[in-house]
Amino acid sequence: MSLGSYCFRKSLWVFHFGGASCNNCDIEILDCLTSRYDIERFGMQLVGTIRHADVLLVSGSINRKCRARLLKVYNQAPKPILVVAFGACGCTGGIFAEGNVFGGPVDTIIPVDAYIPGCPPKPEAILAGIVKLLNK
Amino acid sequence: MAAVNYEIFPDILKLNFDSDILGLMVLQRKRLVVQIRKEALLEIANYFLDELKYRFVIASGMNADHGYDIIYHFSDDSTGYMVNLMVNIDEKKPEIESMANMISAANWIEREIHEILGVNFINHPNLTNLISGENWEETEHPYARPSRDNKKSQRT
Amino acid sequence: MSKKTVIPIGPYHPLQEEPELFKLYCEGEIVRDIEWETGYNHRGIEKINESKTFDQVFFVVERICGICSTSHPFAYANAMEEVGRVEVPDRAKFIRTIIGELERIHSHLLWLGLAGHFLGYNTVFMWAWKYREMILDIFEKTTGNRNNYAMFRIGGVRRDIPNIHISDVKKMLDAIKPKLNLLLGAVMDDPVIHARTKKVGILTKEDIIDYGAVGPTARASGIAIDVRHDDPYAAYPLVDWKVITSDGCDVYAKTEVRLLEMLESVSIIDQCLDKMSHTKEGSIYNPVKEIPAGFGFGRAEAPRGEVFHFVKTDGSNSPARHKVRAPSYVNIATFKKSCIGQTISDATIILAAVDPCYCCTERMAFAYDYYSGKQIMNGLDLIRISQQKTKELKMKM
Ligand code: SF4
Repeated sequence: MSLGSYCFRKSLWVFHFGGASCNNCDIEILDCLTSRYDIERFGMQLVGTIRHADVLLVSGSINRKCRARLLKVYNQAPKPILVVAFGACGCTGGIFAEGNVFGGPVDTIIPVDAYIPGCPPKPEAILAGIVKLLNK
Repeated sequence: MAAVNYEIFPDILKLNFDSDILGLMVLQRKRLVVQIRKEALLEIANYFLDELKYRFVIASGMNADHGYDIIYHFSDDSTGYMVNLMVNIDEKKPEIESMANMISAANWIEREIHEILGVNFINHPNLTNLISGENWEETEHPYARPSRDNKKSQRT
Repeated sequence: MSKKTVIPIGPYHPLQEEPELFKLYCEGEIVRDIEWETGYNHRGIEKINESKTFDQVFFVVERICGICSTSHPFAYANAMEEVGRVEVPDRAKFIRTIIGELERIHSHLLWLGLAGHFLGYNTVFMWAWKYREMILDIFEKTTGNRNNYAMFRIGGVRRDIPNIHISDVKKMLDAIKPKLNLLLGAVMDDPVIHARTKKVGILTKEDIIDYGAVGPTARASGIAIDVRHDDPYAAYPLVDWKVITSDGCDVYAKTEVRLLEMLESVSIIDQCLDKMSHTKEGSIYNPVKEIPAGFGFGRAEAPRGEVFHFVKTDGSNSPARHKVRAPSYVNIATFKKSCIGQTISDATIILAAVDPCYCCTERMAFAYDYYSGKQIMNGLDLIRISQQKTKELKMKM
């Protein structure tokens, strides 16, 4: 068993990085934590610092100012770490990609392991995405 | 505040600030656009804020044929009437007196207009970056388009 | 003078969904000054809009803020209809109002949950968000989406709510009413919540006027401004409702205003559904051929206050300038007044009380200033302090 699959066998702790988002993606992530979807039953939890996390969830388009911060957060992360680009904005920049301050889609800044598209993705899609990621 | 009769309101305004008003435009549904001299801005704004108890909504800065236009939006919340003071600012010397000392609500928006158009607000308490940060250089003004006159002069 | 401590909150921390950086300058326990740094959420929306056609702009303004994804299109539609002198059919007016009010309930519930969390009441958080799901179900039924509803167009709405769905929606709405009353009772009766929120974060009438604050923030200080009432649009003049105000000026008053507003919204939706069933099905928009050059000033009451859109058109098919003023833009600035002189443990709830929305504010998201500050406590600690205080209070009572 490789180190990667060993690390990600049990409860995943997630750190959420909100870029220049419209907030809907962020809300849907929080929504997953609350009673109806309750991802905590799978041992998933949002954590306060990247240093405790197994998954880096990046939502929202990345503007030039966020860009350096995202890189910094990624560099502080314990490796191996799974990076998930969340929402249309996270995957490609979405509707904001033509803006004058767009800093590039997430995958041009840091390596991405999974994409969850949607604007915003439904909580079900988030669960499906994580499951796929685990079975990768 | 006594209720203002909006039928005759534009005329009252003309009477009060005759020499400062360059143009009046009555739009439908309780909207009024008043073009004023930029030197008279503070005085007229004060009249609306202090005497008529209007609320300062926001200011919008935009490109115009000659230089920039800034529209200051005021709202009368008891009637829903909106008065918009429009000033034109010369491109060569983009400056205007700041309203931030009179009403705090103008503080941020003036900083923003300063960033996006490069208009200088005189006597602003703290004219620093609000949104640009590392997003664009201080010398760059993403919303400012050189007007036709200026383009010509650049070419020659 | 004693050494001032700088406490940065954010930019990226788990409970503010959006990035923002506040620097609290403290002397001992007391907050002496507050500074804020933005730019993390700037997306250049106003600039993007200048390159979109009038119809496409709707989808961009919808994504200014996920929570207000009706208010922005609402204000923009009002602005465009003013420029183009377009009349909206009655049925479309009712549908617009219903979606707008549903949004208000879901936004206030969301806020209540977060505020509860900041105070250390995670039950409130879970419950409020659970009941919020019921609203999202109605949204899914009526618009097809949980968020970003894409219902608006110039001259009307894009989709109809068929008459056969009305009774279903009403049933769902009826199911929510007792839940809202339950939350209302839970907040009003709890002595600990009273102790934590009363006389905290006072904003006087003068402050509100000076900063131009709007929405529940202003209404909790006794200023009855509500665009729905002052400058009526859509179906608001056609139904019975009242503007909720409170004279408390503190965090508790803001909570109260929001809770009561939710009940008011339910009644507005109820009336709209009734009246809507008498209008002709399917007549939901008036076609618009072209938009002349001119100015449009559109306003709408978002859950957080007045949204203002200014559109300048030049006769082409896209805006020459589109200016957006979100309510948080003016509300957030009031922190300078409400936070100073308060203890750090109260700062979180005061900041939250305004229901700040940073994506709205920047339209166009905080910093790792960990190295510049002298002594550091992060946002998580801050919430912990706040939750601790509630715990201590509970023990005492
Ligand atoms: S993907 Fe859509 S919902 Fe998510 S942040 Fe971007 S615009 Fe908002």
